[in-house]
Amino acid sequence: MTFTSQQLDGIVENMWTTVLDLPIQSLGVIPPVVNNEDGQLTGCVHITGAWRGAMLLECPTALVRRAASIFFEMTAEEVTDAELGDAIGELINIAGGNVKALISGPTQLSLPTVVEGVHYRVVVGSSRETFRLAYDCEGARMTLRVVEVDSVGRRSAS
Amino acid sequence: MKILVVDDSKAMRMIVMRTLRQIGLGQATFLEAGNGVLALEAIKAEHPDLVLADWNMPEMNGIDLLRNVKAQNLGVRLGFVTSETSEEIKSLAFGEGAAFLVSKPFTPDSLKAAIGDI
Repeated sequence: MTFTSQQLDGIVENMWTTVLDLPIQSLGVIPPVVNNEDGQLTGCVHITGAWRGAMLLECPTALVRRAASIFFEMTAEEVTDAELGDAIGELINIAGGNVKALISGPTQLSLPTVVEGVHYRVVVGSSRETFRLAYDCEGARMTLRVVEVDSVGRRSAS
Repeated sequence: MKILVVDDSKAMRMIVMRTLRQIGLGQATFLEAGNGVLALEAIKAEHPDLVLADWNMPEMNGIDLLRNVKAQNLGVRLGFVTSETSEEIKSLAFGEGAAFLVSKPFTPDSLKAAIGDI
């Protein structure tokens, strides 16, 4: 295993407290649950090279709005859709960059992509989900997912 | 003093500028650019004293911005504020002449320590 759930927890908790100064609590590994029917934004980055896969941060829109209001020093009501996308994109970019540093060998980090809504599926070559970790911030639940391209998929892609 | 903050994320530009004010640079004039191409234009037009640039950006990334600054002898101090924290990236950045590299997420203290005296 290239990195552990404890390392991922450390990255997310450090990011959340340093950038946003908001409390966050790890809820551990959770089964796949769709629980953000009131609106969800997902930030996604891809890592290629010595390790290939993607990282996704799924957040209720209300929590992203809270984060964006801190980033931009404005009220939650003033935050625009573009600023919501910017906020979730930057958060997963920070997490992805920190995970990239844990990988031995040269890797590349993509620019972030933002997905709006709950009902989507991520296909990254021949891949499998290796982590699905949940966190609580002020009663809102967010999820960090890591999808890794398997070795067979890596060979066939090369 | 003019400080140019380069990042494709407006949110991160806001955070960097806010933190710079917190560490005593509130009197500076802040300029912003969303990628390396725009940053290069701003450096030539505005002659900032310091540039803080992201690494991964569209159009022109941070390392290519630094290479252009050096190749064109623009004479500005340029460092990185980036989530790219691997030794490979640090080695490349300093090898090309970066003044500093600050890892995201950063604190006011870590940013101040990296930038040093201006």
